[in-house]
Amino acid sequence: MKNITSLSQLLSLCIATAALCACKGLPTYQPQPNQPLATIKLSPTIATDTLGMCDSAVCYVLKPIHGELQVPVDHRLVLYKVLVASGYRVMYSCTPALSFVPYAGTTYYVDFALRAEHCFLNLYRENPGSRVGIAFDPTVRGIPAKR
Amino acid sequence: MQKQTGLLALMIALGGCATGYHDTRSPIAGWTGGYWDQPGPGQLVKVGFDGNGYIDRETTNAYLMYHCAELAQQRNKPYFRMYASLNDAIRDQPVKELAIGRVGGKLDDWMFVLFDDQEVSGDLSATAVKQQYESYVHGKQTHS
Repeated sequence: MKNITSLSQLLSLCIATAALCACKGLPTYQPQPNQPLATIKLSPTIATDTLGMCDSAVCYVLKPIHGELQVPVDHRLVLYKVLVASGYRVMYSCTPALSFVPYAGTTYYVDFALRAEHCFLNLYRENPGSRVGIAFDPTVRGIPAKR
Repeated sequence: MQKQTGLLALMIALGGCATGYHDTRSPIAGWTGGYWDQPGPGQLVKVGFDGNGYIDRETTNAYLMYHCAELAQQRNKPYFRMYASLNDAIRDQPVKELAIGRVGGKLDDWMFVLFDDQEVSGDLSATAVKQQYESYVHGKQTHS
């Protein structure tokens, strides 16, 4: 078996594992009582959608409550979304993913978008002091899409 | 049976038409697509237009620009600026033109919009944009 030498390889493995496990269904993430959590607000586009989360090579389904998700804090997580949709005489799918380190008490904002045959998953920190309401989160790392 | 046949005929007729200028939530015409908008984050509004396989790029662009201008005027804001992404919005790097692309064989696009009371660099005039694209929405289309 090939050695896993980088974070991106580990993350790719997580995504692949999650995709394979999707056949039988991943467990839904259930935080422990009194566990510190961070909140992720979902953009209106995906406010009722489930996202995938991989935490230390274990993957879960995150189900939103009132357009928000709760995630564990203080270590790197992988967040991804699986999209399978039909278009004009075509079927298309994508699994955009990113990793970040959430911190307790911080609120994040996630947006998903499709444009010109590409899909994007972006995560930001909420920043109520600015007109755009968000700011870059310095811990976010993109995960290249599989080709 | 007649009702079902009528509905089928309507769907076939709509299916052969390019998407018009209407809301995607429009009960019948919305089946072919249309414009939409969503609030947030912050003061941004995400504005989009979903076209079908028959609409052309120029008309999709016109409808999307026109709807942004309409939203500005509905809010009594004379100016607006468009961002191609949230990253561009955070960096305050507005765009003046769109890059309409295909998704699943259909033409559509979206952008994030901020509305302004006073004109600042990167703003578009809602009145000027509406005038520019008026003929696509209400007039005879003389565009090639």
